[in-house]
Amino acid sequence: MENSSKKKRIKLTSDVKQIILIVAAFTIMILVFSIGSEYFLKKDNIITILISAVPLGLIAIGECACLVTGVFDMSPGMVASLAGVIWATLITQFGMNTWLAFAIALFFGLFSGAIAGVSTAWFMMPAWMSTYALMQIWRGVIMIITGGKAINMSAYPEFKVLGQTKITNSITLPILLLIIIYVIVYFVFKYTKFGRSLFIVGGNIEAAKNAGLPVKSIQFFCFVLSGGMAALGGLVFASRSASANPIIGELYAMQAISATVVGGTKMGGGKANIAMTFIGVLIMVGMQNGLNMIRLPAFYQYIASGLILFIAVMLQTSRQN
Amino acid sequence: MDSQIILEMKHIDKAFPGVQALNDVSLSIKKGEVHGLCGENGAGKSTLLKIATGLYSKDSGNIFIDGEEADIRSVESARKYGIHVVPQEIQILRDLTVAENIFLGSQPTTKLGLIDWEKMFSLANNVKQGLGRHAQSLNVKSKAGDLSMGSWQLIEIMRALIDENIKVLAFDEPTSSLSDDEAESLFELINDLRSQGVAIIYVSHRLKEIFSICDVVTVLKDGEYVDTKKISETTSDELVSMMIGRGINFFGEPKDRSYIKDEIMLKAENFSCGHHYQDVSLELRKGEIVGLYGLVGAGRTEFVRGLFAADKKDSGTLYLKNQKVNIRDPREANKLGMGFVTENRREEGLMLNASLTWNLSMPNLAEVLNKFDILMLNKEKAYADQGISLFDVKTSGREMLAVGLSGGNQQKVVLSKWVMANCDILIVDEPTRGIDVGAKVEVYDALKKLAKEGKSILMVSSELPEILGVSDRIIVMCEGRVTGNLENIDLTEEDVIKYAFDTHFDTLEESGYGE
Amino acid sequence: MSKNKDLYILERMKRGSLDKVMTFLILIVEIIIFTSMRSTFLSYSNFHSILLTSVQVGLIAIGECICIIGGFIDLSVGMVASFAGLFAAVAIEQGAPLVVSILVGWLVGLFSGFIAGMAVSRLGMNAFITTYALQQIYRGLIFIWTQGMPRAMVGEIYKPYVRIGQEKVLGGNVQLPVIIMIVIYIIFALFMKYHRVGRSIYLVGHNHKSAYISGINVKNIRLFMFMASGFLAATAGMLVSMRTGSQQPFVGELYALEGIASALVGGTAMEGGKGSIGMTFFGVMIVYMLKNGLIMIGMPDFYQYIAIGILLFIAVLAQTKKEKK
Repeated sequence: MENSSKKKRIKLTSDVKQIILIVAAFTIMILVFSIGSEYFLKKDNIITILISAVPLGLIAIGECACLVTGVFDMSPGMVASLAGVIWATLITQFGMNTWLAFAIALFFGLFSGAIAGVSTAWFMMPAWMSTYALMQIWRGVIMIITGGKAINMSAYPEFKVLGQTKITNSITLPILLLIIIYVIVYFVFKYTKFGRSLFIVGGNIEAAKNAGLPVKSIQFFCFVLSGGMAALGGLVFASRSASANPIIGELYAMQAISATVVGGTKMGGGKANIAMTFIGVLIMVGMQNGLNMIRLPAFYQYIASGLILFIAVMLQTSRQN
Repeated sequence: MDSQIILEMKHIDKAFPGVQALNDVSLSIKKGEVHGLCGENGAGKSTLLKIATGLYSKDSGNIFIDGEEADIRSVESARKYGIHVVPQEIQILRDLTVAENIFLGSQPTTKLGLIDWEKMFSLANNVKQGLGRHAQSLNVKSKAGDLSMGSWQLIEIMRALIDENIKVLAFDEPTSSLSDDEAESLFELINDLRSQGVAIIYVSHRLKEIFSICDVVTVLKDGEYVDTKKISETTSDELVSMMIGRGINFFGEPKDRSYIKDEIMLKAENFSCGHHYQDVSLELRKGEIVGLYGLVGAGRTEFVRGLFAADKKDSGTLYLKNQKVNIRDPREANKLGMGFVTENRREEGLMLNASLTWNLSMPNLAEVLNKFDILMLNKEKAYADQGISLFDVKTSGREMLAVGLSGGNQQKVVLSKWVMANCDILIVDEPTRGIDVGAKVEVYDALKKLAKEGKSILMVSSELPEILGVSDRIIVMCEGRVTGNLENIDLTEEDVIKYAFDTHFDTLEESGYGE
Repeated sequence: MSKNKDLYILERMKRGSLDKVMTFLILIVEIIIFTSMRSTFLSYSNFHSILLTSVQVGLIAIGECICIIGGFIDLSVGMVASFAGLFAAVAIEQGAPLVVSILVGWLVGLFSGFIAGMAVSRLGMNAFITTYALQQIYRGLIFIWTQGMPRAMVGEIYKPYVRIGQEKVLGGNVQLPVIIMIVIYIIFALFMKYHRVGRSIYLVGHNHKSAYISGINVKNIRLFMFMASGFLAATAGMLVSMRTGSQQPFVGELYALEGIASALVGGTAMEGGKGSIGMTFFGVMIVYMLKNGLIMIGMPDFYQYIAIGILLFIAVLAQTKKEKK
């Protein structure tokens, strides 16, 4: 008895260690940037970070669901962009009701996820490949619709409701939305059968099949979730910036994968922590913001996020070996 | 008495490609009975178990549960009838808690349909409390990946026990990866379950265990039912004699022992690797075929893989032709003249979708290269043709894909590729697995021909008649150790098999397997 | 049982040749459609321009084909191409001789291939995600270096460099990069077919476990694949700046996608072990005729994304459905 409780304490640290590592990385990032710039930890800047974390935060949820079942979704960036473009275009070109257009744009996200889900679950295509192809297709569609130019929506007040409504002086609707959704997803992951079955399918697909779980449907719905979250992220971003930007989603896929992997999600599937994913998102967005703050040009982000992803994957791989 | 019969299987047939795994086997299990199922490797005991628990579907026959015919198509449907299995390969989700591992998709929920974690933990704890003392240290909230094999097995057992209607619980070689302590507590647990009225099917080749916990034992042989005995009315000698004496096979020409030279080609000293095998030593002479026999799980395959450096070993010294060598990977083994026909021909032996030419030249590309590392395709073709004719592989030509060959011919290609690569020492693991009788004889002849030409062969096999029919000398392993080293002169199956069972140990072997 | 097996083989054999037939069929259908819409599509000058514009992706497709045959994928090629071109251009600017500049470019390609190869073969990292991360790192480095501005390669100092890309040979009918591409195709086709390493790549891709048991140095072969891919990407990057006389920082944005699509449309199997450099060339032709044709019939640039995305989708789908049997 004594022996085993001792062992348990040691074992506990393996998970705790990981969380400590993530939080430490987060703290170091804050420290470095707050030394580099006195504005970094100012309230306004923290709000800015939170606001810009919204689209990525939403996309990371979908990516996390995919990764936990053991697949990658490469398409969320372009899904996000295209959802914004669809929303704006339906309003400007077809004079559609803002919220109907919103619903259609959101539905597009689910639809895109459904394509990825069907091709992966039933046609057995490698997920990263089909979503990669899908990403290019949506990229083309975006260009056809917009010609590569952003659609300015500042003349449509209703369009801005979602992204710019203030709850308090500093907290805007998107931040609230992000927090609510994270709480909901936290509960879905922890307290619903669907949420748990993602972990079971990713952890051991044979065990999941033997337990009678509908493995294919679960894989399908995790892509649908990813598509829906990506679309929502794109819509919030479009509304906040009052424009539908065709190229905004370029980095989202990688940043979302990085955020989830940094947040301790196992690439083979079976393990994830949605709260840690949120920290991962804050690390990615804080990095972006901090680099700006210390006046490093935007493209340092590419290097930073690429390096973070590389190192996170390397650490994870070596841990598993 | 009939009313007590919970599970009844009648006239079950099951065929796999090339093998009749079960032939008209019947079995009935009573309430509160521990029913042992034993037999030699390939006797059909696991197959029967898998049919009862829905992992395999039967070809014909009927299954009755409580006297009514049951339609078992999957693990799920078997579970609905209250039949559960603790499989040999335990399926565990390393990153989830013990409780979740137990419940998997059927977590208890609140009225709102949300998962009720408290209830899940307390239910899991309740199940745990019903288990023996050994289970009590298990924390249902800890992560499964951090626990020992014994705990994983407890998880599998608890998966079954959360079903309140459990009628039958089947174990497939449950102790093969457990420590003594863990095995002991498993037996206590089985005793408990028996007193609760659960019927237990216990598949094992460890006779000692059969005698210590079973009430009744059924013996199978070659997929056929032999007999069912009360454990109090039988002895281990009787059981063993029921298992052996399988159908007479033809093993080709008798092996001519005069080709064996005194020169020792390979000498392994004290090979050990974790709980897989310990202190295994053996010698192999020129022109000799050594059969390495043991029951499934005895560590034979693991040992020969360590010998060839296909997998890592912990310790051990290898001498080839009296020279001490240190082999780090198969490439080096290959260079020193060793060849390895793996047991899984389709995964490691062949490139199924590549041509025979490519398959044959693979281990010896140097032979068909010129000095600039350029392949001489014409030479390669001739090389491949030579390889094909070496053992008379039946094929439409060297460009045929390996997947298109029959099992026996595939095996001949694998043998041939190593022989063509000038290997003096061949390790062959289960060379006749899954191939038909005629082809088996051809493989035996091929091995004998090679020995005659001065090659040394170490043959791992689960087939006792095959070991007796082909080898010059037989080494028997049991639970990771060498237990017998016998010259194959007038040996009978009984002489060999007694070394393979654990009954000649006074205590169960210390397997030394911990966390 | 054996009858089933025979049927299975027969079918596989058919499929083997069907792959090729399919590739050529798509090519022919494409030519017919575009020619019927624009008669100039089939002219020599248009054909030459298709070849010329396909040079960079043509080379990259060889690298992708090699990686896919070996069982992996390399997403970093686009930025490696840009990066190598940039290094070569800077070397020239600094007054390095032509040969040295080109060597510098190749070194960049080999080095990045080395990093990816080591990460995959030694550390066991997921190739797809690793090369994706590397791509982003290179992209950032290029950004910082160039500020996103193209660099025009005018002036005496660039002349010998740019000449390689613009020289017309064979009586002024063919531009040199086309010849270079064809030569490299021949070299690699021969290499994959006749060289020990080429064969080993096929073997590792077919069944790396079996290859390991049979004494193939699986790790080094995997390393080689990525280094070859890096080398070819570097060559592609330099050739495009030679041809256009300017160094565009992000010229390689779509190279990986188009290269992978070309290799797959050319019949390279995602499961590894199967594919040929020669057929990859026809895959590249399919992709570039599609791009060229879409432009000729007046479709804007970005329809290419969709077309290639769909092409990739179909190519993968066609394969996976087959494997399910």
